[in-house]
Amino acid sequence: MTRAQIANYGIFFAFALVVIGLMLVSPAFRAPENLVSIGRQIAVLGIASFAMTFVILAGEIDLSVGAVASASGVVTAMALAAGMGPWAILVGVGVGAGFGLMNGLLTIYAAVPSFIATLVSFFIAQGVALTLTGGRTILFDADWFRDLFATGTVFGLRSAFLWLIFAFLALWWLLARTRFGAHVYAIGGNQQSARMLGLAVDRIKLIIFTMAGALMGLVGMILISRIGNARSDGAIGLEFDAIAAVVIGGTALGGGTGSLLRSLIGVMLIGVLNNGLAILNVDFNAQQVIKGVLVIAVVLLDRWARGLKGASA
Amino acid sequence: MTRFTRLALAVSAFSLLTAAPAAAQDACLGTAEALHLSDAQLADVIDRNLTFGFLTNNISDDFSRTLVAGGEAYAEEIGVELIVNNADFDANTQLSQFDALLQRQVDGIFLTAVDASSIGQAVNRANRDGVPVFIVGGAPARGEVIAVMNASSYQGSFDAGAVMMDAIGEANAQVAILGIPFALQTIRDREKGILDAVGAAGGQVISMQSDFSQDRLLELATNVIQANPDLKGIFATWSLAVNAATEAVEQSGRDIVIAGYDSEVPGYVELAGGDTNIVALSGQQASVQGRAAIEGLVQSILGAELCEEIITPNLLVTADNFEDSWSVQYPGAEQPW
Repeated sequence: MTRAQIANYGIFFAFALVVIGLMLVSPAFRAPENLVSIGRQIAVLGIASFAMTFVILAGEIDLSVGAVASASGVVTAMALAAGMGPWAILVGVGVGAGFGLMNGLLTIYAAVPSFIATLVSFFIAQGVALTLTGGRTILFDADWFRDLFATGTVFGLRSAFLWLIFAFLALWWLLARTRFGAHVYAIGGNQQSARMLGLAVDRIKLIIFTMAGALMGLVGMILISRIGNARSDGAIGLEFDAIAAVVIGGTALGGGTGSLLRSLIGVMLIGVLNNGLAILNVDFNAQQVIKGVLVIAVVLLDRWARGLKGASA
Repeated sequence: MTRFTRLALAVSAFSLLTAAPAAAQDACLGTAEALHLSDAQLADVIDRNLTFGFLTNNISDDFSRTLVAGGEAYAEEIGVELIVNNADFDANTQLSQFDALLQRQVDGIFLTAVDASSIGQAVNRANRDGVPVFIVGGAPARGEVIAVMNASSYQGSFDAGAVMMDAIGEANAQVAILGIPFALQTIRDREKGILDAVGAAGGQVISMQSDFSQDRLLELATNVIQANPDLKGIFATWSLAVNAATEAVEQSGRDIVIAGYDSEVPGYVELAGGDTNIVALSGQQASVQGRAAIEGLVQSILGAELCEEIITPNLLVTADNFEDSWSVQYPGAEQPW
């Protein structure tokens, strides 16, 4: 295998190696129902990573995703508990989109670096969720909602996994098959050149941030549907897992290079590792070490294959 | 002096020496009940116009919220002003809040520490200023506190675990433990309690997994259930693990018994619903602890000696007693079922 092939297919190769290794050592891992279960378990991280991929490709970062997903989940659960029925879905997505819009406005029109702007959103979203819940776990009784977003089954596949597939296909099409997607790459590759070419950089970035927020609304709803309650800290920390999955997939943190499929593989790698290590009853602390070592190995292999030394990719 | 008399004197002296520390221990106030204030003491409190500070490490969990509520309610009842600060798990914030309370010259401080080692320097400053400090949870590494109050973590886990093993009713039953990766003594005590309960019943622990996130705990519980077809029970060592285990078992459709440490609202709702795999939850009496902390500070100011460690017993919440337990654990709160 040449260096170029490793650069293009290394992440797929690494994923296949991990899966084959786990299949060999654990009969429980290779059970069909377990593979279906992994699909369900990666839905939340997957959709969050797709949103993060768009933001990073455009040369920005979003540290608010976990807090926004938590806040959206809390507001949706409260709306359901208040008897708002299907309108609660709009409320949840609206909360997420609202925070995304705020991220975009702060970053683009107030010229606040996205690192800071989204950190501000993180604190506001966390504060809103905590204020609304008062630290309580919000319970809601809406089986239709849970079935729609997580626990329902279609052809043996859980609805959470189907949302992941739907989000992937829709966003992949948007990124790989539309002019909008090409503009995202162009902006992340060289923002000044993109402006000189007449691209609506600000508008595209605003759409990306708002879309990422709306996707966090969806993530929040899947999250509360999976467990049947909502908490103010329900998705805290999700942003770091999402960034990790995107980087493992090979998307450049500086923007302009990467793909949604590679992020999906990064998510699947994390999901498979989480699942396999738990099945093998590996201690929590040892799991962190193993995952850390594997992630850095994959990233270093990818950087070597792309001929990157020292400079940030 | 005969040989017998010398022997009798020696025994008496030995008895006195060994009894002395025990007597001192008896003299100190060592339970939540013992801290209760008499009518005369209450009258004295009103005259003193006391102000206490309460530094909570967070208010995003049920225990902390109930602890604060218990302290606030009792402080208001006896006419003590209570200043509540939330550190939101930030040790530096808590240190600043601690110093601000000393600046305000409060009469006492009670706290749940974010970081027991770093709060020691602040406790030293309180000692210097003569401000009594009462701790709920881990003791500080430095400084003197009037007492450290904790729930009976070991016994609570052991008791709930024993109910679980009894409900399983099989020798060599396979059990999994779902926990939290905190290196705290209380967490270790909970784990030891369930390990001893399983061992005493002749069962075997086949998996121990932990995480901080409820969603991740759900994944772990699902994975453990799928990987172990003979699994008979799951013991959850904290509230979010209870929620995760309950949901994972329900989704699996398997007949797996659940017990846990921490009885919170979702657990009560499950028990009230009737159709649940939860057989027992060990509930901390946070409200009682909040009141006891206020009483402990008052007792100390009035000159009483508190025992170094005060243990509050846990409630064993089951389908038979959940309504009574609710009223003890959440006094005055509306039942959510």
